[in-house]
Amino acid sequence: MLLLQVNTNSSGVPLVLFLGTIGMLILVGGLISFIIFHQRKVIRYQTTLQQMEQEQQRMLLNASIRLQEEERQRLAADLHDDAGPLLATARLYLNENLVNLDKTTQLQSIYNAKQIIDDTIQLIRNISHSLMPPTLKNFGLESAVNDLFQKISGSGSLNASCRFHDYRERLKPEDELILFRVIQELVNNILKHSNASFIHVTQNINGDRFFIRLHHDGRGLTQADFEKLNKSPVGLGLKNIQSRLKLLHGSIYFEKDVSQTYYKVTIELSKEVEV
Amino acid sequence: MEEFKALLASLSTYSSLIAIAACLIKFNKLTKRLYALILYCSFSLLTDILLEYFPFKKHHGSQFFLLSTFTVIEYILFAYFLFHSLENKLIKNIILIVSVIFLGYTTYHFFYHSKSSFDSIPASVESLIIISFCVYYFYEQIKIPSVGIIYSTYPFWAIVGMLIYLSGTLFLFLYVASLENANDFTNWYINNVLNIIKNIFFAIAFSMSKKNLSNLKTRIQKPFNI
Repeated sequence: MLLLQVNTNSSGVPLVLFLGTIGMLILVGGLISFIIFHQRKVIRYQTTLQQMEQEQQRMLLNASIRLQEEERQRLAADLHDDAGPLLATARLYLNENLVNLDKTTQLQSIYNAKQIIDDTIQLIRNISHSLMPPTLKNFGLESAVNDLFQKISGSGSLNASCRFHDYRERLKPEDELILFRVIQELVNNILKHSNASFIHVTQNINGDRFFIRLHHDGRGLTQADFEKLNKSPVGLGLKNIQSRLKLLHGSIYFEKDVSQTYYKVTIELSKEVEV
Repeated sequence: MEEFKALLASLSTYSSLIAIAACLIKFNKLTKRLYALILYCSFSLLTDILLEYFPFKKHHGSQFFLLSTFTVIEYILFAYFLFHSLENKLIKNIILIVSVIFLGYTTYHFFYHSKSSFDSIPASVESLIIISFCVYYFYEQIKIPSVGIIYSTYPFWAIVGMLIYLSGTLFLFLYVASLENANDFTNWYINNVLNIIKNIFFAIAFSMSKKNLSNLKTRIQKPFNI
């Protein structure tokens, strides 16, 4: 109350009233300025985030297109370089002059042509299997991964094993194919770059989350390496993994095991995936 | 000086017309909230004209009745505007509860205290309540970031107008309440200046009115998940 009765200032306004009003107006001005600047900062951050996301999407799209092109080129090369010459050779054996040849030569030519056609059938079957593994289609992800690992272990260069703990209910076929391609790509990377002596894959379900964990003892990646490679123009395979998992609304995490002996890759998906 | 103060008083009285004019230009685009604001501006203009030109000008009971009524109506319309501008349901319920308490208190105060003096305490309490809700509105705007810039929306300008007016006049009302003669209006020109500023902000709010604000408010998208 004493303060309120302080004498007036030169303009006739009581000092406390003058200071109080000015103080309140400064506070309000400060508050409004803060809100505006803060919001502009948030919007700038949001814009940067969106730009980064767009850039990443663009890189993923590029990677996906390059993958498609590479796949087409591989198919074209297989058909042109392998199936084409085989069929041309078979045609040579079965030319018009065959009727003029003696019976033994005719039989020999037909036998050779049959052999070549069998080889061509096998070749086309292999190409078809590489596009869609029949084991995956008929028996599911667990069998397809087992099949893949048996082939790898059969080479004798490293020991590959897998264990699916809870896979009574199969994922949708298209999801299985995407996941199989991701595992295939990861395994390919390990074979090419890691110099590992074993690969072990496990599958688990925790609530509505579906996990695939891949361990190996070679040179591996950590999450920081993965993110760095993802942002760089190289690392096409990793970008494909990312774009495939994005389709499944899944995530992937690369880490070194706590024992510092193994590298671990964890793929996490929702059980109810809508592609 | 006295002439300047008289000019300010007149300007303050008629400054409501700026807001009303802006409202009439955008009349077909007004929302319910803005109807509350235009009602407020019209009532403010009416009250000021009555106080300025009618015989009960000099400390008559009718003058204080009019001022008390104005405080109540001002509170109701500002609270209504804020109620529809906020999103948090808890705060909306708090506004309702606080409004009931405030109206009860104002009625009590009018019948027992302010029949013959300016209702400076209810006006100060009203200012404090509305300032708190205005500050919460800004807090909510920070908490829920939107793609649109805050000052491109009309509630921002309306609430800034309220905030500047009420925070600027708070000390004036508190000061008047502390005086032995609670009918001392010598420093009333502070109210007049702030009233002009408030009406300018309201006019900006009216000129920015849009029926649908939802297209401006988009929550931040979740960052890329892998």
